[in-house]
Amino acid sequence: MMMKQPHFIIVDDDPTNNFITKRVIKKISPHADVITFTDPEEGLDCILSTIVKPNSGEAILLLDINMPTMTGWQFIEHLEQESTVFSERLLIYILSSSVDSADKERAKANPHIIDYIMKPLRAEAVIHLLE
Amino acid sequence: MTNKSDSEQLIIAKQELVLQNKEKGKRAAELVIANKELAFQNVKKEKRAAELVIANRELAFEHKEKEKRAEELIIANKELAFQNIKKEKRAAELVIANRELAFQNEKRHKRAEELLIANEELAFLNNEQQALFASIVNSSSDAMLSKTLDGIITSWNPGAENMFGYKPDEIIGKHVFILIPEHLQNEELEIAKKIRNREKVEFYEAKRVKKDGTIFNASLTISPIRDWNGNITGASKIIRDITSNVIAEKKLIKSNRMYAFTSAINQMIVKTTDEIALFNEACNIAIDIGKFKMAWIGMIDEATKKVIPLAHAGSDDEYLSKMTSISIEDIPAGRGPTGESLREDIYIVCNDIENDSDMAPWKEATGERGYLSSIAFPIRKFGKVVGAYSLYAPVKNFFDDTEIALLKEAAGDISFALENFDIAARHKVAEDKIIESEEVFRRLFNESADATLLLDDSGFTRCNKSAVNILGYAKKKEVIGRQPWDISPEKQPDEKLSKEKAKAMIAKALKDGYNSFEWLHVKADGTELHVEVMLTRITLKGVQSYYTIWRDITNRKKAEGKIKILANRLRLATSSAGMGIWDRDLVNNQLVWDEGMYSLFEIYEKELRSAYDCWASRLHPQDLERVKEDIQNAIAGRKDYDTDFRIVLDDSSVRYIKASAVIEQDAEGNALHMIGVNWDITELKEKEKQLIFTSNGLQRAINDLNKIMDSSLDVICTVDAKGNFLRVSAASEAVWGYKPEELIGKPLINFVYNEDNEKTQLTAANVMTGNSLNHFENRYVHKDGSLVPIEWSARWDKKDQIRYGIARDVTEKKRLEKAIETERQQFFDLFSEAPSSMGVLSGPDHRFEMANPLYLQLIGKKDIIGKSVKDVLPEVTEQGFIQILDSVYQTGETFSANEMIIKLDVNNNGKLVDRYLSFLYQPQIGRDGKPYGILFFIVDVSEQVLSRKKIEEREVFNRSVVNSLSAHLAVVNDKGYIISINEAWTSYAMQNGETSMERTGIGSNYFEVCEKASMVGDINAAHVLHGMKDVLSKKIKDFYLEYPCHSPSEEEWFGLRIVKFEGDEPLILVVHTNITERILAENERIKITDDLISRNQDLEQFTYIVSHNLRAPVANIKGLSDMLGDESLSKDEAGIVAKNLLSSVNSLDNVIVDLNNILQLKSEGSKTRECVVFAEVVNDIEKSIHSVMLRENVKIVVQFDEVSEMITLKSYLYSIFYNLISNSIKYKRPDVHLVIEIKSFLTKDTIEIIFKDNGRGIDLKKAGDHMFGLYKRFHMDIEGKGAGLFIVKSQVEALGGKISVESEINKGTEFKIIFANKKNI
Repeated sequence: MMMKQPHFIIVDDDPTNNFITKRVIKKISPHADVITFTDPEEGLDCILSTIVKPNSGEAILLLDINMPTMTGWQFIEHLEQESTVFSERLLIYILSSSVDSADKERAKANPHIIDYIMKPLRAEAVIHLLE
Repeated sequence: MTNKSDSEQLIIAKQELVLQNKEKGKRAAELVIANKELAFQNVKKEKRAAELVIANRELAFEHKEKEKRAEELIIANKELAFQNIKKEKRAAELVIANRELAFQNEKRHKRAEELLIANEELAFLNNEQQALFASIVNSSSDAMLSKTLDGIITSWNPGAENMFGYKPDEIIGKHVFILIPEHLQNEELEIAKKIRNREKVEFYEAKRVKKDGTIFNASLTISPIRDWNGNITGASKIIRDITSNVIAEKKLIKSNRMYAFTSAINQMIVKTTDEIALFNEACNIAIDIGKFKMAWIGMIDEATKKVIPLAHAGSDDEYLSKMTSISIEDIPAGRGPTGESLREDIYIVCNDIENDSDMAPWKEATGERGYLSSIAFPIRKFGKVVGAYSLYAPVKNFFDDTEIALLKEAAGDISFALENFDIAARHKVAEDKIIESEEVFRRLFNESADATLLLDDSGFTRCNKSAVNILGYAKKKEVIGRQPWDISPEKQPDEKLSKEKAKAMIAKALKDGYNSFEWLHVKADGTELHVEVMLTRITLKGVQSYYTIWRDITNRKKAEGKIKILANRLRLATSSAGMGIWDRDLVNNQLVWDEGMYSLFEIYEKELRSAYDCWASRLHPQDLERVKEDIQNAIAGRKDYDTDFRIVLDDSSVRYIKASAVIEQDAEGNALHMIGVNWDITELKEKEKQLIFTSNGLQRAINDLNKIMDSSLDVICTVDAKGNFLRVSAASEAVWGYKPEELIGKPLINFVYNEDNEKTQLTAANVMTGNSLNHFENRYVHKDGSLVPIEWSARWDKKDQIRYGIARDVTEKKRLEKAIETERQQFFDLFSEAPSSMGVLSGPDHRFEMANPLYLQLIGKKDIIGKSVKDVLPEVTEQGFIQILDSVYQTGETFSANEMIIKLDVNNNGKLVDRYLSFLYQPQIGRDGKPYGILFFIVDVSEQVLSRKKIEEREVFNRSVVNSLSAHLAVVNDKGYIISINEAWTSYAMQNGETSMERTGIGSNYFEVCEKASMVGDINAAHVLHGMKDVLSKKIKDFYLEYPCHSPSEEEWFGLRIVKFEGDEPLILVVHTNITERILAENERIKITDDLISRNQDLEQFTYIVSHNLRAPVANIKGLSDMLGDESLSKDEAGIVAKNLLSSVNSLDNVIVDLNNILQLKSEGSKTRECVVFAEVVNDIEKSIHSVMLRENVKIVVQFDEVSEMITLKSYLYSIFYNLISNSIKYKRPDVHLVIEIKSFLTKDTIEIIFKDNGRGIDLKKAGDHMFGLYKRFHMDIEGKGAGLFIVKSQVEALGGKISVESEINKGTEFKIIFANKKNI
C-alpha cells in the first residue's frame, strides 16, 4: 500500500547526500514531505517534539551513521531514552555510504532499524520504502 | 350543564380537598417533628460533648496530658457541633421546601376549587352569565369536558384541545376511554359508577393519554351533571396536566430519601466504633435508606496504587470481584469515577454510565447490573485521601446538586468518623496512661512503708496505713481532719511552740515547694514519736496541699542519746589513761579531738586552730607523708589503721605516739567516719632502742668468733656435758665428711671408731675434771666409712659446762701411699681396656713388656710378651719401623705418625693387609736420664681413611659437576654463613668487582650482605633475606625471584632460587641464574605482538576510512551522476548537481591526500634527527600562513626561555606546530581576537611544549576518546576533515612523546606535549 503523502526525515551531516536523497524521493513521490537535517541534534528535537506525540502520522527516518557530533547509533539510543513509542511511528532506515559489513551487521542487530540502505539512495529503494 | 346536586357534589369535593391539604400539612408537620427529633439528638450529642468536656476538664485539672486531651476533644466536639448545626440548617431548608410544595399543592387545588365554585354558581346564572362563564371555560388552560354517564364526551374546551390534541369535532361523541390508557380504564368505570350512585368522588390524580399517544399525569376534578330534576345525567371534568408537579414531588421524595440517608449516616457514625463496621454500615444505609442499587467503599493500597474494596452492599453480582481493578494513577484503569475521585480529591459524578467514555473499562459490567448513574466521593483522613465511597443508582441523571450536597456530607461524615477513630484511639491510650499513673500513685500512697499523708489548711485530708500505724491509731479517721500540732506535744525539743513552728514549716514548704525537718509527734498512747518530715507542695483540685512523708527516727534519736552517754564515759576513761580520741567526719572532712588529744599533743590554744592543723604542725616531718598514706589506705579499706609516729613538741623534744582507728561505713560501704585513739609510747620506744643496741653488740662478737672458727683447717668444736656436739666448725666436712649441721646436737661418741670408744670416754671424763688435754689420739669413722685418725686438744669450761676441743687429721702419709697403689691399679685397668692399642717395649731390641688385648687383635698375634718386635712382626722390618723405634730409643724423642699405611700379616697366612694407623712412640726415660724402653699408642683408622677416600672421590666428582654449571651456587647455613660456592659464583663475584671474595666468598655471611643491601633500599635483597629464612624455617618449600640487575654497560636479569638442602642439616642452596636471554626473548616477543596489534589496528583504521570517508564522496558522485542522466533535471538543478559533484570530487581528493600523508608518516620510521629551534619553526609557519593570520587577526605569543631547541625530526615538529596552530585558527571564537601562546618547559627528563588558545573549546566529556581520532570533528559549522589532530598525535608518538588536552567551552583549549629529554639520542 502506497502512502498518500509520506513523511521523510533525513538526518545526515553531508548536504550533498541530503540533496541527492531528497530529489530522488521527490521524483518518485512528488507529494512526499521531506525534511532534512545536517545537525543530528536538530533532527532529534524535531522527532521528539512532533513524530512521537500521539495522533501524529508515521514517518520514515533515513539516518546516516558517521556524523561528527553524534553517530547514528547514538541517535537511536537518544530516541530510546526519550520515548517508548518512537518505533511505532517511525520507520528507521540507515542510509550510509559505509561498505563495512560490520556496520551492516550492527544495523541488522538493532531491533529499531528496519533496513540498511547503501548510499546513494536509488529510485528503486524509494519505491520499496513506500510499499 | 349544571344543577343543584352538582353544586353539592362540588362542596363535598371542596371539603375533600381541604382534608387532603390538611393531610399534606400533617406530613409537613411530621417532617418538622422528625427534624426536631434530629435537633434533639444533636442536642443530646452536644450534651454528651459537654459532658466529655467537663470530664476532660476534671482530668485536665490533675494532669497536663489531660489538659491537652481536653483541648483536642473540645476541638473535635466543636467540629461535631458545627456539623450538627449544618445539618439542622439543611433540615430547616427541607422543611421550607416541603412547605412550599404543600403550598403549591394547596394553590393548585384551590384554583380547581374556585372553578368548581364557579361551575356551581353557573347553574344559577342566566344565559348572559352563561356566556360569560363559557368564555371563562374557553379561556382556561385546563381541559374541561363533559360526558354522559355512558362516558360519551359531550363538550370539549380549547384547553382540552391543547392538552390532548383532539379537535372538538374529532372527540365529541367519542367515548372518554380514548383519553385513558387501556389498563386504567377500569378505574374510570369505578368513578363513573360512584358518580351515578351519588357517592363522594375523590379529587384524584390519574394518567391520561394524548392523541399522539403520550401518557401524562393528570389531576382530575369531577362533578356530576344533573338535570333540573336533580337526576345525574353526566359528569364534568376539569383536567390539568400535572406532569411537572409529579416530577417535583418525586424529586422531593428523592431529596427526603437523601436527607434520611445522610441523617442515618450521621447517626450511624456516632454509634460506630471501628472502621469496618463504619464502612459496612455506610454501604447498608446507602442501600436500605438511600435506595441505591449498589454502594461500596474501597481504600487505597499504597503499594500497588490500587483500590481495594473493603465493604459493599446492594446488588453486587460479583461486580467488585470481577471488575477491572481500579487504580489511582492516571491510566485507563484510573480514569473511572472512583479512581479520578481519589486522584483529584473531588467527587466525580457519572450520570450516564452507558455513554461516558471514561467508564469504558466497566461499561459492560455496569450495564449488566443496571447501574446507570454513579458517584464517587473521596474519603479523607486528616486531609489525605485514603479511600472512596461509590454509589450506583438504577436511573440515569440521578445525581443533581441537591443530592450531591447531601451525599457529600455523608462522605464527609465517614471521613470525620475515620479521623475520630484515630483520635479516640489516641485518647484511649492517654486515658489508660493517666489511669495507670493514678493507680501507681494510689498504690504508692497506700502501700508505702513510709507514713504518707496529705495536708492542707484544714488539717490532714488523707493518710495511708503506715501513718496510722506509726501514730499508734487504729483507723485513718482518727488522723484525718486533725492539724499536725494536734498530734504533737505543746513544745518541740527546741522549746518552740509546736503550733507556731508547724505553721512556720508549712509556710516554708509553700514558699520553697519543699521542706524537710525533724519533728516530735505524740503517739496515741502518749509516747514520743520522732519523725523526719518531708513536705512537698502540691495543688490538688485547686487547693494548696502538701504531700507529707514521715520517717520514724525515734530509734535514731534514742541512739544519739545513748551515744552521748557512752562518749562521756569513754572520755573519762581515756583522759585518765593518757589517751586521746579523735573523730574524723569523712563526708564533711572535719576532725574533732577530745581533751585527751590536746593534752597529748600539748596544745593549749585549741580554739585558735583546727584540730587537723594542730596534728599536722606537731607531726615529725619525716613521718607526716607516711602517716597520711596510712590514713588514706585505711579509708580506702586497703589496710587497718595501726601505726605509730613521732611528734615534735614546742621544746623540740620528740614523743612517740601510737595510733589506731576504725572506719565507720554506710550500707554501700562508703566510709563515713574514722574514729581513733592515740597514746604516748615514748618510753616503750626508748627501751626498745636500748635492747636493740645491746643485742647488736653481742651478735657482732659471736660473728667474729664464728669467722675464726670457720677459717680453721682443724675442726674446732664445743661439746656439752652430756657429750653432744654444740658447735662445730666448717672443717668438719673436710675431716669427717659431715657438715657441721649434721653433727650438732648428736653425741660425739657416735662418730668415734668402736675400738677407741672406751679410751675416748675415759679421756673425756678426765678433761671434765679440769685437766686440759693435748695430743690425745683416737679414730673417727668418716662418712664414706673410712677411718680418720684424729689428734685432739681439749679444755673444760666449768662455768658454762662446755668442753672446747680442736681436732686435727693425722692420716696424711698413710693416705698418700694408698693413693699410689690405687693409681697403679687404675692405670692397668685403663691399659687393658683402653680403646686404642697400647703397649710398652723395653730394651734396645724392643722386647714387648706389656701389650693390651686391642693391640694383640690389631696385629693378629698372641703370647708376644718378652719377644722382640722383629720376631713378632717380621713384616714391619722392611717397612722401616725398626729404624724408627731405634731412633726413639736412642734420641729419647717422641715420634708420632698420622694415618700411616702399614702392611700386616693379620691372618698369619703370609698375605699382607693394608692398615692405616695413627701412632705415638714415647720413650721411657730412667732416673739416669737414659731411655729404657718405649711406650706406644696405636689407633687403627683404616676404616675412616678408606671411607673418607671414597667420599673424597665422590666429592671431586660432585664438585666438578657443580663447577661446570653456569648457575651460581652457594650453600648457606642457618646463620647465614656461606659454606660452599661453585666456580660460577666466584667468577660472577669477581666480574662484579669483588677481588678477594670478602663479601660473598666462603665464610662470609650472606644474610648480612642482603641486610646491608636492603638497608640502602634494595627491595629484592629484603625479599631474598626473607626467602632464605622462610625456607630455612620450612615455612615455604622453596623461593624464587626474578629481578633485573642492570650494569652501565648491559641490561641483565637474574633468577634466584632458594631450596632446602637435602638431609637434616639446616642448610640452603642459593641458585643464582642469569636469565637475561630468556627475558630479552620474552620482551622481543611482546614487542612483536604489540607491533602486530598496532598494525592490525592501523589496518582496521584503513578499513574504516575506506568504508566511510572514501566511500562517502564516491556514493555522492554516484548519486549525482545518476541525476545528470535524468531528463527532468532543470537547469538550476543541473547547476546544483554540478556544484555538489565538484565538492564531492574535492573531498575525495582530500581524503586520498590525507591517507597518503598518514601512510607516509607510518613508513617514515627513522629519519635523521637534527637540532630544531622552536622559534624558527614558529617563524616559518607564521611566514607560510601570513595572509591567513592577517585576515583572522591572529597573535602568536611564544616563550621558549627554559628550553629553546631539541634534537628531533624537523619535518614532524613543523607538522605538529602547524597543525595545532591551524587548528586554533580554525576553531577561534568569531567575536574574540585569537591569541595562541606557545611555551616550552624543561624538567629533569622531559621537554614540555604547551599550546594554549582562547578559542571556542571542546566539551571533553562529549569528545573524550575521539579527540585525536581520525575524521573526528566536533563542530558542525567549521570546515575540517578531522585528520589534523590524528596526524599530530601520530607524529608526537612517533617522536616518542605524549600529547594531552584540556579544554573548556568558550574559554579555550590547551594541548600539552611531553617529549623525553635525551640529549644524546
